[in-house]
Amino acid sequence: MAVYTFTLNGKLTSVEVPSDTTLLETLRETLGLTGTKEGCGKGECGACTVIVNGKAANACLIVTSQLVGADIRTIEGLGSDGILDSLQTAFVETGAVQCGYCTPGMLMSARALLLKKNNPSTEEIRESIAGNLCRCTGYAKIAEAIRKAAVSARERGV
Amino acid sequence: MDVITPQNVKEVLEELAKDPYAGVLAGGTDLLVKWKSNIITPPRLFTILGLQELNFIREEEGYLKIGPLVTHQDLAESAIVQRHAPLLAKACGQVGSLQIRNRGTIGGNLVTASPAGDTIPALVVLNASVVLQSAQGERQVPLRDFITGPGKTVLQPGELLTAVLFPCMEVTEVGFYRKLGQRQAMAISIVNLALKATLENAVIKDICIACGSVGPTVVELKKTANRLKGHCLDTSELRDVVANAGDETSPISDLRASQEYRRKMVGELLYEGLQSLRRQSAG
Repeated sequence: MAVYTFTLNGKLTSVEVPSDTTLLETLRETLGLTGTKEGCGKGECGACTVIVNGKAANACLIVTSQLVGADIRTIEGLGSDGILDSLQTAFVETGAVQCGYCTPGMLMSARALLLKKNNPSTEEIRESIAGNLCRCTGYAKIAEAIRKAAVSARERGV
Repeated sequence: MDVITPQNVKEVLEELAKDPYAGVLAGGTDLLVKWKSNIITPPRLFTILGLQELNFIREEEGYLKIGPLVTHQDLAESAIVQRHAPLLAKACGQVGSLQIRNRGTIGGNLVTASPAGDTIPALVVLNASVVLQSAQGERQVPLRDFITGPGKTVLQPGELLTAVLFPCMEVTEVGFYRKLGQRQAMAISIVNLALKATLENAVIKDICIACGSVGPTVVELKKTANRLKGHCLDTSELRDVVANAGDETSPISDLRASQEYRRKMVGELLYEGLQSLRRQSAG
């Protein structure tokens, strides 16, 4: 066991876990943040997508000991005080959620895209979620929701 | 499994000298999958991902020198790589998904030595070498000789891959890279093909062709390359020249594709590549 410190959703966070604990295990089991889902556990499905240092990554393929000093954002960091962020609102309004299991990962991939590009092309939107599987096959609505969120963020100037 | 975080390359090499069979963890997109599936069970791993001295892209005396920890996405987006080796930028952009490209590194792709490795054919046509360092010293090995079989390299216990380097492409050279998979993202290549050619008025002066996923390691189409030399890209006989290109490969049939299909696709991708060169030389 060792103590690892990183920034999680804007707060300095320390955890004491074995050095080979994955970020996904640390989030879900040590920190109780169960919004990040486990799908395949092998980096194929994207259900566990989080943002590490501004980039989308699979939490199942990172060991916590690699994250000392890192800046991590999870689904729990979107929105605040019960108010949804623009992407979450767009997903709800567009009906981009079916069973919901892929949704946190989709949202984090989309957030990572919008951190980099405020006016992404259709191609860029599709590429940003190409590593996220939705087995309800709802990709069209998801892509539409991401586009809407980008438009609404630009209109509000954020 | 104990994951240890050395502070610099010197420390990694000292530790590897003491415990040569310890594993080295970079982006983890391959190693951690194998570990979770119990394919490998290293008692100790050195995680090197935080070592900035192994994360660089430099142009030095006509060579591009790349640190092993540069991620596929950083290479795909790098202006220097796009200028001096656009086919490598293209290959890196085709790896896995964005999540995988954001973590997986070029050093990892080479040491993993998958027959389907996406960057390997690109780096072979670029005439790349790798720098291998140990506590005893360093050596440089051509990439062609580095990978010896599926998952096998000449990397010795105690050695660490510390750089990849290749000559920057000349203005007279053009390149092409294409990956064929069952879908665009997260697909293991059915066939991938890279080529680099020197052209003079649309005539092929020199050409180097390498394919992945059609043999135990990368396969260079040397006979086909020889046949193509002297041909003009505008001529209609190119189809016939490349028709049997797949005969130089030794693919297997697996759940992704049959041997016959792979062989046929080698010729198809090569033809597509030659058409791309023609457009590039015209433009």
